[in-house]
Amino acid sequence: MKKLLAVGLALCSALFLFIACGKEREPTAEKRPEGMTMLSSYQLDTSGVDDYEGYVGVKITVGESDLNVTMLGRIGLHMQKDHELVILNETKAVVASATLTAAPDAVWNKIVYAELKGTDSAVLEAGISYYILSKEAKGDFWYGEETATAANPYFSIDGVVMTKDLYDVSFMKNTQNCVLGPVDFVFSVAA
Amino acid sequence: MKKYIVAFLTVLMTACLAAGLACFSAAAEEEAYKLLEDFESYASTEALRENYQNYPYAGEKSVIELNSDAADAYGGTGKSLKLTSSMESAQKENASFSVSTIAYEEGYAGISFWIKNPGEDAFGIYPQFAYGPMPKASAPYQVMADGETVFTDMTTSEAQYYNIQIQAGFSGVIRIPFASFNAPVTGFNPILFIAWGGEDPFSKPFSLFIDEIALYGTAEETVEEAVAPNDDYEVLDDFDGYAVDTLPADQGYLQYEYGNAETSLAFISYGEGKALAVSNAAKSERADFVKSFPFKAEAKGLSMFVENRSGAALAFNPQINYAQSPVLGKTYFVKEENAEEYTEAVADGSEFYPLTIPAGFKGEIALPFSVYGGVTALDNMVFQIYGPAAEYTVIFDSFCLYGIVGGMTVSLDNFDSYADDAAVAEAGYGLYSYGSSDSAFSLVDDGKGGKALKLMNFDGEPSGGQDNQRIDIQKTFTALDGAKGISMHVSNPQDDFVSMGFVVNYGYFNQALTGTHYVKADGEESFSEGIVTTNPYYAIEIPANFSGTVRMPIELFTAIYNPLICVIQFYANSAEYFEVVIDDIELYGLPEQAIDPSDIVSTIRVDSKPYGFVPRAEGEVFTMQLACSGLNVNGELRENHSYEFSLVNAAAGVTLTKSGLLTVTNEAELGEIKILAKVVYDADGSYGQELTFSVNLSLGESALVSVGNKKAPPAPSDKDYFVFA
Repeated sequence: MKKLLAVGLALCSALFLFIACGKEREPTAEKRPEGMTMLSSYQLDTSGVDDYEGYVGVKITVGESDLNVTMLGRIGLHMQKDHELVILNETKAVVASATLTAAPDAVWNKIVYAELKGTDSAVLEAGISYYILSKEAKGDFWYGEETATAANPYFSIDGVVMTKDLYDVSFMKNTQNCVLGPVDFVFSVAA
Repeated sequence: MKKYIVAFLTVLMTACLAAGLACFSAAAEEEAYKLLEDFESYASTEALRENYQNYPYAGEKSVIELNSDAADAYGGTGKSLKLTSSMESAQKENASFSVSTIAYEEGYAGISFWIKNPGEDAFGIYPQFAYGPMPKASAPYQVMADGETVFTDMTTSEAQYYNIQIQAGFSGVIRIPFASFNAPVTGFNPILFIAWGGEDPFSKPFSLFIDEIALYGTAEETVEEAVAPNDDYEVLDDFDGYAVDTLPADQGYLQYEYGNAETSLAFISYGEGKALAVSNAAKSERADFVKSFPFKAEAKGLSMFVENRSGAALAFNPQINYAQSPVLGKTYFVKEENAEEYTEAVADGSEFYPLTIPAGFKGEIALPFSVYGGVTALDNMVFQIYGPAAEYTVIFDSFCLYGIVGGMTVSLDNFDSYADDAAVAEAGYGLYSYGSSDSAFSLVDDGKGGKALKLMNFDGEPSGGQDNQRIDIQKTFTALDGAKGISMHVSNPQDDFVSMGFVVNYGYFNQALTGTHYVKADGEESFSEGIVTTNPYYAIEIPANFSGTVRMPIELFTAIYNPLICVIQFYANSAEYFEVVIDDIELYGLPEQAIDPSDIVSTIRVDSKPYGFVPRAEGEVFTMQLACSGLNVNGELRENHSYEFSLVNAAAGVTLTKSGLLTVTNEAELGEIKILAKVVYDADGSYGQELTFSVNLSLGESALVSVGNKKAPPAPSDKDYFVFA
């Protein structure tokens, strides 16, 4: 009888282990960033690119009020490596940067966010254009130029951009309100 | 019925009035335009050639024809002038015409003309008036291609000639403001148009069509600011050189026949020199005299020394040409004898005597030409004084034009910073390779606590002949645009004069030839015309034992531009040892700016890449940010400014913002685009140094091509950082 109990226990343990090992990973816990985001709602392109080395993202032009940026973000789907994110101004000077790792500071709506490096926030000045970019390497998958988001009253989303060297920037015409990556940022309107 | 007629008439009158006002309003807003030539009056090429000929010194055999094909005329109608360069021409690439039958009219802002380039290559062109004014390098003009409705701002190239580029296939209107010409435009006779095909070696002729030559716009009225004298005086008369028996009348100082004809004029000893005494011996209230002085348009005013010995304030009217008096309410300047600076005074006297000479005044009165509302000559000046009905005397001395040079001075070198001769050589000074080989230079004490450079020629050294009489030294400086000339302190210790030559940027036609230069010996207050030698290559005489400053106006040179390669040459009268000492090489007469001279950018360095890309992908646009930095004349970085960028020539598919964002679409052509960068000083927004540079557009690796190779998203992987529901 004891033997039977032992065999039964062993079988149950094996079944438990079998079920436990075959179970899918828990979804990444969401933690909404504080502030507004560019990708408050978005529609991903149905396809993308995984063989490009360089930076992809979006060009925006700030409206009538300065913006305070606190985090930079990128689509979390298919992300297998850390990513460097930057904001450049029109002279290609770095205004803000962040490193996105497997331990993001915020996760929302499949976008993952990291706080800025070296500062709590950066100011995007009214009337100035900026590039929000994510550094992509071969093997990184990012979504194409048909990734669309909604317009907002704080800045215009001028179109998608790519650059190999943060200097010569390729801008694609007729891509207003579209974002490569997609990249994102968390902001508030400066008082 | 009567009521209806009245109502109808009222409505009709109102409508007419409204229409009239509308027409008046439209006319008032219309830009001034005066057609000068549309070629419609010419019946044949022969008739045209009666008025239009080649310019003998450029494109002298190019072919001038009357074109009657409306497709090659302004507005697609009528006739135009066709100009074709000639393979038979000595200057084969040139094409030119000269016309003397077009009259200039004052009051317009500039000249416009329609031009067509039917060829496959661009050419450069420039108009020139009366063999003088022509468009400046890097100056604004405007273009409106046929079919367009607004003018586009353009900038002439950095070249001195042919600096308006007409692209292949272009047809449209060019208009050039007179302010963009290198000298005031006051007449047309003749108008030259000279084009340059730019092929080297020349391979094929080119043609152009010109039509609708016109004046456009309204010249801006300039309100001249009252300018006080600085130390730039040109003495008109200080009386000191007159012999004892010279009478005022001998020198053009005359009694005024409509004033007090009994005014007595006399040259008297005054201080260490002489002066003019004007006395009212007749005890009339008035004393006056007439004198004509030479005039220089670039001068800012007339100054004179005055001593009022009357014991009373005197009313004063220095009237020009019997008619033009100082304008009441306008500013002039006075400086008491021992005062350091001029103070402003206002013409607040009477209509007939607008100025006042205070009782006991002894000092200088400076009359900026603005006090007259503008001056074009100083003929028949009537110096009218009104005082007490008693005998009185007023002394006049040192009539001067002032402000001829003005502006700021920037030192190119004062030699003070060099430790030794090796340092001087290291800084770029060297004997001119085509000059005397038996010369040398050495640092010496300048007697002011600094250093100077002694240049020596040795006799009996191997080269012999003329070389034994020469010293040549070469040095390249960074120049500043807008300078009125170069000055240098020179000491000649010999008891004989030496001759000086000064060549810039090489070239026998770019040296100080026989024009006027100015000298100011140490201790003297003002510059005077220097002595010009008979040797055209060493035209500046440095008198025996002279020590002072020599000014060489920029007019002596064809041009002064960066880099300013200077060859300074001295030539003695005999093959014996001689030496000269040079110091304080300066650019003078630079435009006044609220910028300290040491902060002025003299060299612009381009920091951005010299190349850009023409995109290949549909809808792709390349942008790149142009960037420059500025160095002062000593090569030190300055951060007191930004840059304003513009395209020298319009190029399809290329746009450039003032802040330097260059955008290139796939409509752009491969090749160089020229860009003008202008310094804009933060302090006052004034413009400074300019630089034209090139960006070479090539086919770049298209980033957006990658987007064309899109694929479906991959399946989730265990390697994914994140899992989403």
